Amino acid sequence: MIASMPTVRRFAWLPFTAAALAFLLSATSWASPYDVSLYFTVMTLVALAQSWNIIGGLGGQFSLANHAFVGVGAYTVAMLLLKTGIPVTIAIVAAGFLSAVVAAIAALPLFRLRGVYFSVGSLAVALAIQAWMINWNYTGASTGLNIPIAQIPQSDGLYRIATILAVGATLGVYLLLRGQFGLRLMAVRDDEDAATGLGVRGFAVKAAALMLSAFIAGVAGALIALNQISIEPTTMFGLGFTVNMIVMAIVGGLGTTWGPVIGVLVVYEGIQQQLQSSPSLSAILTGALLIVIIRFAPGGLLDLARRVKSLAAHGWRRSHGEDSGTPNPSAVR
Amino acid sequence: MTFQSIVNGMLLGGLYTTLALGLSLVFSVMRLVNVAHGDLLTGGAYLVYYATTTLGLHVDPLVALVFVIPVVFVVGYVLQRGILTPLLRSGMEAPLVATFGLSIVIQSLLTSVFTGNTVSLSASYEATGITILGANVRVVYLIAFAIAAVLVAGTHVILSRTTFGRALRATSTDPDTAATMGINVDRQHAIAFGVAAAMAAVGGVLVGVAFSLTPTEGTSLLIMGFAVVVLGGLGSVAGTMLAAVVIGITQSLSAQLLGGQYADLTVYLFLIAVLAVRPTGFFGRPEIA
Repeated sequence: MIASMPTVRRFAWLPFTAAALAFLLSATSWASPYDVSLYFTVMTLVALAQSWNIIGGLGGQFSLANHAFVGVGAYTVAMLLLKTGIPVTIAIVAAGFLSAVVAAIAALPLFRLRGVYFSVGSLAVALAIQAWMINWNYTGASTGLNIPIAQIPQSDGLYRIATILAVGATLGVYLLLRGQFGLRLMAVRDDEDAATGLGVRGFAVKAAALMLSAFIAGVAGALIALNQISIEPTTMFGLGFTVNMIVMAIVGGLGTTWGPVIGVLVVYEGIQQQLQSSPSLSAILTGALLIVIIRFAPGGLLDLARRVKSLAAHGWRRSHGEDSGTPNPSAVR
Repeated sequence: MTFQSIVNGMLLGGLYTTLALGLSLVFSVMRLVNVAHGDLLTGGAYLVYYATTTLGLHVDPLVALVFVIPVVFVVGYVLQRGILTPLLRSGMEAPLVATFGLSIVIQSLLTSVFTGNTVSLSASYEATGITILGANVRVVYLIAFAIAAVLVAGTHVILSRTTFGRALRATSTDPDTAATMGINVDRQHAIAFGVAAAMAAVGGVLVGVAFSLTPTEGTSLLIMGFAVVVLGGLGSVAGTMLAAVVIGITQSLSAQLLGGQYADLTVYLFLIAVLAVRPTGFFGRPEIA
């Protein structure tokens, strides 16, 4: 636990995060504009995968509503830029906050439900929001909105905000895995009744996790909207975002700091980017990969690599006549 | 006319029953939430579409089901045995993830073969209506209602009166004890999933004749099925049909009062409200989630 660590170790993440952030932000000066736009997509996907990792991995709530938060963020930033004169940075942050508010409202009925009932309910909430947006004339109904181009930041600027979001979300998961709130959340995931018995307020903890998840998804949605200029409800509120989040988080390793990042690199760079010209084939492979992972390596690629590594070390020691005991693949997260 | 809406809504409930029966069966037998159920519906319907257009089978879509049902049964059987059964031991989430992956695969397979365009299955009665008690109803709704009634009665009789049904219920109540009594639990589960896939194909064809289909339609059909299952509660086949009729009437009345574009929204809100008020459904035996 963080509280019991010496101060130096407690903030061990700080120099690493600062260095990583500085390096990633500098990409605008050494990478080509094409690559920067590619990295922008990677950063938004990392943020989205971590958003789902928080509610689905650390919280154990299999949410099928996260794409609704993406849509709310996208529409909030578009409407604020169209109807008010506020600076775009504030509009982006406001998009995150409004998504969190929507999550708080959705949490009221949804967290009366447990397990798969929550999943079903969350999908119904997301579909209801989409059905509403398709018919709501104030936000352009099914045709959607066009964001005034003059107000959209340069693509370098968008990339920088996306990078800060992705690094922040990843750091957030790292700290959740070690901090008090995260421990409460994982206790609720592992056994809600036992956690409640120990004084953890299950509903509040889950609702806060959903709001955090929605905040990240909402900001990511705002950035995606700014990047594509025009938005419409069928795709901005489409299940596709949640599909990506779930696949990437699970393929990499659910409930870990680096799993979702690895998942994004493998699924986006390895499959979706390579098969840009045939999106159907890419989607088939993505779905098939999810099935294969959950069937044969349910801990994701990160856990698989760890198991292979410890198996190799185990085997090496055994062949050299040493007594090694059982390998412990779950020591570090 | 309100009376006409109620009659049509009631018959529409028959159609909705066929969307939900397989979902309910799989859930109550093996606690499996099959989020690919909607895609089994569209998948079956597209197979019928393929048989009656590309393969040149010039028969009614419902007749073509005779050829399609064995195919989807085998596919369902294999999916359950090969992928889902081994996952059932590790809780409810792993099978849910697997069916989620399955849903992605089926939707993208359908998109790549049939493109994203809307298709509908043509039948001689697709646009005909008749008058019952002064209400104009679509013939296809009547057919769907009759099929639903037969499926519900058949499922009830098989579950309660046959050796197979007894074995299935034993498997559902206590798989370990059932196994010690000589019941092949894995095989029972696989047959149940195959039957669910077959019933899904029937429902999908009825949707394809009555309305239209797109490869990604499965998600909203799934939620319609869930709405029925949740309202109807588990372990009650009759509750399923009753719930479907309630939802059909609600939707039909709301379409008349608010306009057709809000019909889907009504169902989603209805489902959320039911879940919030009574998470275990209104009919059937109480169940812990």
